[in-house]
Amino acid sequence: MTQHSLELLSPAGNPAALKAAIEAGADAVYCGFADRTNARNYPGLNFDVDEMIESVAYAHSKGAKVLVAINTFPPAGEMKSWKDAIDNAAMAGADAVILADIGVLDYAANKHPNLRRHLSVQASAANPLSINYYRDQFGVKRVVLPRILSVDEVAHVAKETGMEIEVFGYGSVGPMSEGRCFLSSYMTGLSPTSEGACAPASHVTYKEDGDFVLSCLGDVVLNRVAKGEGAAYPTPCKARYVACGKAGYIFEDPIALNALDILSELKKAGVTALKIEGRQRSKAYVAEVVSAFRKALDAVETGETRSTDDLSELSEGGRQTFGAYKKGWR
Amino acid sequence: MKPSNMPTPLVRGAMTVAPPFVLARAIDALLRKMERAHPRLFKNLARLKPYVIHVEPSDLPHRFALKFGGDEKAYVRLLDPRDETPGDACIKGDIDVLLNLLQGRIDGDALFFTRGLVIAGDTAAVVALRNTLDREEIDLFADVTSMFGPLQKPAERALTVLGRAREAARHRAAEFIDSLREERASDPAAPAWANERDALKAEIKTLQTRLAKLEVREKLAKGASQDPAHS
Repeated sequence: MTQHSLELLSPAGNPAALKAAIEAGADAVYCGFADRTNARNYPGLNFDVDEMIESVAYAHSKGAKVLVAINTFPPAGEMKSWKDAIDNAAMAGADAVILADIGVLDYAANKHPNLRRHLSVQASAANPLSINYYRDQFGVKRVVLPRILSVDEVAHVAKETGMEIEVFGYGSVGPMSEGRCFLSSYMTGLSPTSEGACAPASHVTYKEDGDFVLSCLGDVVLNRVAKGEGAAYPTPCKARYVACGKAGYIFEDPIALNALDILSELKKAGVTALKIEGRQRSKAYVAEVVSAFRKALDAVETGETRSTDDLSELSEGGRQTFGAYKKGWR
Repeated sequence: MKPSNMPTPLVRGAMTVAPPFVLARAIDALLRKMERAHPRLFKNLARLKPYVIHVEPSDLPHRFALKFGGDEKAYVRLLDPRDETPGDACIKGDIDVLLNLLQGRIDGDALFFTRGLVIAGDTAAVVALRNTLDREEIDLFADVTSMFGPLQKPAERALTVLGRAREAARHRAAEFIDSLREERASDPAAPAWANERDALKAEIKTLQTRLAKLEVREKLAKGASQDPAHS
């Protein structure tokens, strides 16, 4: 494998997407088991144990790593699925597990001390004190930073913790306290942090209303999108609310985070790995986004100046932003 | 990912003119072929909860019902135009979009963002189908042409040539119609208002283009005022 100073980490919702990611130039792939132990628990998605074993072997044969996300929070008395997931990831030969819950971290640290532990963004650890706690207590080697920090703040965290830093390069803007958002549970009755889906497909409906489309979560209409208008995922944070008589996106616009044009700044800030979001997206998405980032990262390494690929067609709402990295929003 | 060789306009044309009973037979044959070529796909579809999804290509006169799950073999049925029984969910889009989606060559979410794909009803059914299809490497053109057995390669070449010839013919027909219009416009016997009408049509088109550009600029300006990063 060619060594890159910034590791390119791709999502994979199934073994075909994992292959597409590696073919497109990913250094590592993250994925999850087909149950509620990971934050993308959708029907037909994810890996069973046999698929995980085969996929890890395939990735290793191509010089790529596999990180297994086990990043939801077990409810009281229901630890078995999470313990099984850790044991199965270790048995499959995964290169690391991505964890959020301190009980799960403790189990992994004690039962499989040689299995690398990364701290999931779902732990919402965004300052050196918090991150160092996870490092010292559970031997965490890498932290995935929440998408609320500017490039300068990322540099500060990297300097103060001395940890491997992973940040999001492409995906949702995600300006909430990840792993602590319960907005959707008021509409679905299900906990997004324990069930592994913020807007479970079983609770989402779309209805045509003339030239408009209504998106609903449970009984709540989240949005009414006109023809030609960019649509958003049906999550409460991206719903259009009426406030002071005016409908608008109060929490989060339908827009995608895209750090393609600031990769050298992130590298200078001490970032180790660049994560692309989207395990629920198709292998076509994975191939296109990974390929764009591979080219841009290679250009950063060689100091070449080149224009980056346009990913706007794949972006939520058809628009893109640097998000908190350049904190320019209201 | 390999580019698709599927001559979609030819497929669209054939599906438009084919009598329903011929189309139904062709679908049955293709399904049997796909079952042999992708046994894992059919196994995974059978494992899902039972659903019926209506597929409505917006540029074809036909609708289809896809039934899968509940430990039964998946099948596709041509819907009778009078059949108004609703499915659990409905997917609408152009036939080339739907075929590319079936083969995992385009991203369903991106299509959803731009409304190139419209879904209604039980989203869990659509998500389960999409995720199950995305696990497979499906090349529909290869599946269709492999039905010709040892003549697969000649069949692939013939269909590709036929597809190109059809597109070329369509192009030539469009050019011919344009030339007729131009001829009529310059014909002194044409009604006096024809030239004015065509000029107005051209002006409206120019104004529509300018308006669209201004709307984009306005949207960009609004986006920039909220987020100076980029849009």
